[in-house]
Amino acid sequence: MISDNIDVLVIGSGPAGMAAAIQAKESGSDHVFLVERAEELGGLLSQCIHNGFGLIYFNEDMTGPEYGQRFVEKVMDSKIEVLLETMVLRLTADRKVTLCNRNGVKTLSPKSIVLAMGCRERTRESIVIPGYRPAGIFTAGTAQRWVNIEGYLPGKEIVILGSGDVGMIMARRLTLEGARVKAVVEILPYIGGLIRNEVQCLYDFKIPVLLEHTVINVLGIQRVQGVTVARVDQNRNPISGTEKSIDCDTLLLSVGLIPENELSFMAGVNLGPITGGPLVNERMETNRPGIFAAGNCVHVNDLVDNVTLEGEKAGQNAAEHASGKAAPKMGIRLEAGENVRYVIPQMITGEREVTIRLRVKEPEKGVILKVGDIMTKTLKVVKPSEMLNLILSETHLNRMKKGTTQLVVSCQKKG
Amino acid sequence: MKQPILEADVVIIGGGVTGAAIARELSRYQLGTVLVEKRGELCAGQTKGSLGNIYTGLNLVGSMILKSVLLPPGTPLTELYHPHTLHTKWCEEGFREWEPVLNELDIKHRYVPLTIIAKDEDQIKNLEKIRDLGRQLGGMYADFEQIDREEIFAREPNVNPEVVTALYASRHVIDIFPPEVAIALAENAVQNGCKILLNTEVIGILQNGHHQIVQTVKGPIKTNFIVNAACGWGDKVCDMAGGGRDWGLQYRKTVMIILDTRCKGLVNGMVRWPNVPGRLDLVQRREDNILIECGTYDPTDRPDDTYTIREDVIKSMAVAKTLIPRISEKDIINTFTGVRVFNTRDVEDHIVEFHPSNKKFLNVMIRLPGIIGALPMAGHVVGMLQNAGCKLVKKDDFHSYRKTIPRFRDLSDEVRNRLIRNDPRYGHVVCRCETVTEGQIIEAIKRGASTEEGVRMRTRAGMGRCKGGFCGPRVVKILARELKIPVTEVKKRSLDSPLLLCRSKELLLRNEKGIA
Repeated sequence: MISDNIDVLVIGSGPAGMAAAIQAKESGSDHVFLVERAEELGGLLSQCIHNGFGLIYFNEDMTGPEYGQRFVEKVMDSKIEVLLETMVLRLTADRKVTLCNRNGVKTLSPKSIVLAMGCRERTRESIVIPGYRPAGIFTAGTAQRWVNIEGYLPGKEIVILGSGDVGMIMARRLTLEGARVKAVVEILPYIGGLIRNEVQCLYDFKIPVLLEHTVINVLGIQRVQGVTVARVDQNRNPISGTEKSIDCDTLLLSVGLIPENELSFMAGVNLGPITGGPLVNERMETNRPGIFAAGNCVHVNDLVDNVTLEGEKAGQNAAEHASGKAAPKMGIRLEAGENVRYVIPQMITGEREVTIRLRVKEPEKGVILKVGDIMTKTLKVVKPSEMLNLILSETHLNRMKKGTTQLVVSCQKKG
Repeated sequence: MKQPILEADVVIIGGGVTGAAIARELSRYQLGTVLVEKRGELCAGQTKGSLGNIYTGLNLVGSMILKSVLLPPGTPLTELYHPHTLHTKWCEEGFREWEPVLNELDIKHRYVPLTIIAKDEDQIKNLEKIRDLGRQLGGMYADFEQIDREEIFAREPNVNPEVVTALYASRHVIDIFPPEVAIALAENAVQNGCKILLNTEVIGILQNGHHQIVQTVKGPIKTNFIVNAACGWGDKVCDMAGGGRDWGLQYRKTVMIILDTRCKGLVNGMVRWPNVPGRLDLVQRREDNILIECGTYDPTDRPDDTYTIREDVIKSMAVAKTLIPRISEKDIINTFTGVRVFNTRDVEDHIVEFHPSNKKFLNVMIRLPGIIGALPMAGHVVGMLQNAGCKLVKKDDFHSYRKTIPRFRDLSDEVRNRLIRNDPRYGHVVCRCETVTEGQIIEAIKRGASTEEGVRMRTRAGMGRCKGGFCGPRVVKILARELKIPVTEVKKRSLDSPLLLCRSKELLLRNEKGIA
């Protein structure tokens, strides 16, 4: 029987959720619940068997399961109440949360909630790739689960649309499995994911990359038999006459991730139009008091280490909220300016040091990052796939004119 | 080894809503009925790709008015009404007949309002034609009101702000999910003794004395009567029984778009512009999603040309936005293409007749709308079989009720808890977008789902915004476990649609052994 005396309930046990739960516990909350719909803790970490995790947080190069295991053990050691194969069916603005598992459906009223539902993959349907609806079209993450967790190959001859990180990692993974990756097709003039993946997954394995191309046709009625690709113009429209067919039995999609926020939506949490995730303040709190959010459900992060840090921040503040501590006023809004896609958090106090993170819109060389008129920083190169961290110290914040309510963050070309 | 030959009184070819309705009707009688479907699941053709509402009155008038352009000027509009066609008769009777049956078969359905809106002169002219014809025909056809701007926005607040007038009928459209209708009919037929064979393509029909032999890829079936409900493939099937067809089938396709459940508040029912020949422009609620069909009936040369054209989706969305401006491409979670089959011999009507040279072979070529008239159609077909010598003796134990697989998503927490206490697998949510539990998936498999699509059509697992990205592997593993087959044997729909091609490491081991 679940008691209803809960300080912090965390939804999702990926890196953000585990960090939030651990931190909430360490910050003094007695009753911390971690709710996970899958069979085990760790979220998608368990299927990410490649390395590159933990470089920042642990200063070690780890695989996803190794990185996750550190937190799983901490969760197990710290008397956090773990509910596996448990789905949250409902969440209300006043923090009533309805859980469902094999023991039944139950509604609880925790003092604080941390949203850590992660993200989902953009599908073939949502980007409207024309064609029939044959078997053999998978999102890269689903293919990754099939290969790494379940032990099956989705195909033998593969084309990957999109050069997101999961797509590139699967290009390498499937090559190592003996499948033939015939092309990675990217509509933009540059690779969508991290530089290190471009080098280690595509370049090192000599996987053909078609930049400024897209898939304009899927062949095969019952199972994929091939795709037609074409070069695109500046408006990303296919150029006629450049079509070419590639025989394959499988099309993988790595065309973007979407924060999962159905519960946030239900609870009336304000979502950002660009990030698709909750708008949060520097405590990772949403517009709904006591509802916090962290990780990829807030915005799609570049590195898991940063997700963990966000989770910790959310967990700590959720514990504070549960203990009844009054929240500081968030008086300053951070706005995305020139060549900045978004800034996290969107609201700060302006009174204490804060780390802000941002993503640029376009790759650029030789830029000046500006936060209002209180801080500047020059950078040699920026890329949309790699997030930028900025620490606004109290010295910076003290430069704000009295009455400032907004700081514009911009990334301008030098000179 | 020779298998014992399967025997039947009636073989129905085709497992769409037409075949399923006939199967259920026949299962009332002491007859051996076998339904064969060439695909791996029921409703794999037109039924799956159809708009599929059950509608009446105002919406029927709208369809009639389409042909007004063909009338010489001055002809009374009532010329557009053809009361004696099977098509009209069944449309009129069907709506009423469905009402109790939807409940008997526990089919999820909801009456939704129909609002035909108009903003410019042409549209108003068209709308007035619909209004006038409806009023002239009277009865259910006149059971609507004309409403002004204020009332339009009170009932459908998100329509185009420039609309000036609308026709409104509160209970003329029943929103259903077409595959559920066909599956419910088929399940009830099976409950009453009908046999359904999937993946059973018909490859020949032979005359053998008093009997006919339906040759299928799974072996022959000896039968007295054959009902051809193969729709788009009906001409091919008919040719197997001997030529002499004069239907001139034509196929026309339209694209349909499904939006995320988040948008459900944008429309309460069906909103459409006044019907224009060759076009369909409507946005409607389909359960908790929004369904858009804004397009032209484009000719194609194949009944299975469900190829979705990107430009059609873009054009369709542009029109949909003229109806409901707040609709956005960002909310698209699915697009698919449906093919409708028309005969050109009797454009207005269905073709329901025995083969000219085979009086025990009944062709049932239904044009759209097929679902509204399916019940009276089935009664009519059974009557024709009786007249042709099929002996009908009512069963004493015909059971007209069928229970749905519990729709966990729609249940109260109290009912959910009762389900879970009985079977804890109902507490394990597998598909998170549509809140479908393991219990439901297992029940669907027990009822005959043997593919990913079969599970999806029966439970909605994988039908949500992530399109099975999360639940797909889990559903496939449950299918393999329950059907006791290897995971690599689980299909998306038909035998030729495998999902996974081999085990991990299999390719490497093969390469090591030097096998290409």
